[in-house]
Amino acid sequence: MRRGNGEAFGQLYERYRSSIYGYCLRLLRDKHKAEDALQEIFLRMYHGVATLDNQFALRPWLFTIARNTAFSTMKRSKEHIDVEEDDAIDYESPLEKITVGDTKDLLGALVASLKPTYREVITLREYEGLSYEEIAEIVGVSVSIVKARLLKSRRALVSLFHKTYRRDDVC
Amino acid sequence: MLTCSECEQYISECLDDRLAESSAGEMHAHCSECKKCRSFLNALLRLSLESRRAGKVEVPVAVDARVRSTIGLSIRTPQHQLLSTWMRKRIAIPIPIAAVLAIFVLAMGVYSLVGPRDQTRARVASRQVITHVMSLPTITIENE
Repeated sequence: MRRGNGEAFGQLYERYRSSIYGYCLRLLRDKHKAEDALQEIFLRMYHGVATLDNQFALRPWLFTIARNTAFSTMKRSKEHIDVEEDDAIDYESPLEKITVGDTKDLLGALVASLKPTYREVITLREYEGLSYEEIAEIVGVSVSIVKARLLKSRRALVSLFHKTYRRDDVC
Repeated sequence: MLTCSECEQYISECLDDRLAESSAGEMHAHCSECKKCRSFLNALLRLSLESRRAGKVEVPVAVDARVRSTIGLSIRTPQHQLLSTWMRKRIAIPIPIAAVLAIFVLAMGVYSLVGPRDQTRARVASRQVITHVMSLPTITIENE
């Protein structure tokens, strides 16, 4: 693949397109932006695959490209991205519209209400099943920060969950 | 005794299989007595289950084709993929049989081109001979 083998890149595309698209969709919260990002990500991967040294680090490498592309898109859209945010919840998100009946992906709907830095760690962990170390590599922070952000995201999700649904459903 | 904040940290790590066994014991002991932490654990378990139920997000066909075209991959829609898989399965198994069948079909083709025509010619020729013979005047040979 490093030599630009088209067939190998095709296999890589087949294997990761859904994951990368899902990641972009959850991060960007916009179908059209996610579609454009997917195209840009695989184009970047295609040109950057020659620089890939260690094939065991393939997944973090793919998601790092996806993350950088998604965050660039957010910056272009002037979406507020602040790493040092105290509150994980994005109060400008349309959570009020979420009801039990209109969503198949309950977690997805709640995740969409988080701020980008929290949205990304919880997506990588819950949907992609990435390890703390892989997430740390992708996001460019330490493992302890990943742990802290996951905890904060989960606290926010549970809080939103309880606000949206009756507590009786859970206990 | 574990505080609720510490217990939440333990729960988060436990869900990710990162919690030591001794800490897991402390977490369970706390949850059995604390309704708030039990509720936190239940909510996260439910959300985790939801993420598994949500499954993969499928890339729309048009977007898939657009990306493939951009990166120079041959366009293979799910229908194309299904067809090629079906064809691979069909063709891969009976290659020796297919070879025999091909020879047979070829032989039949040659036969249909050459065989019947010769037979017809032969039939026509024999009919002509018979007609010719029948049209000949009867010759009586008298014995001396």
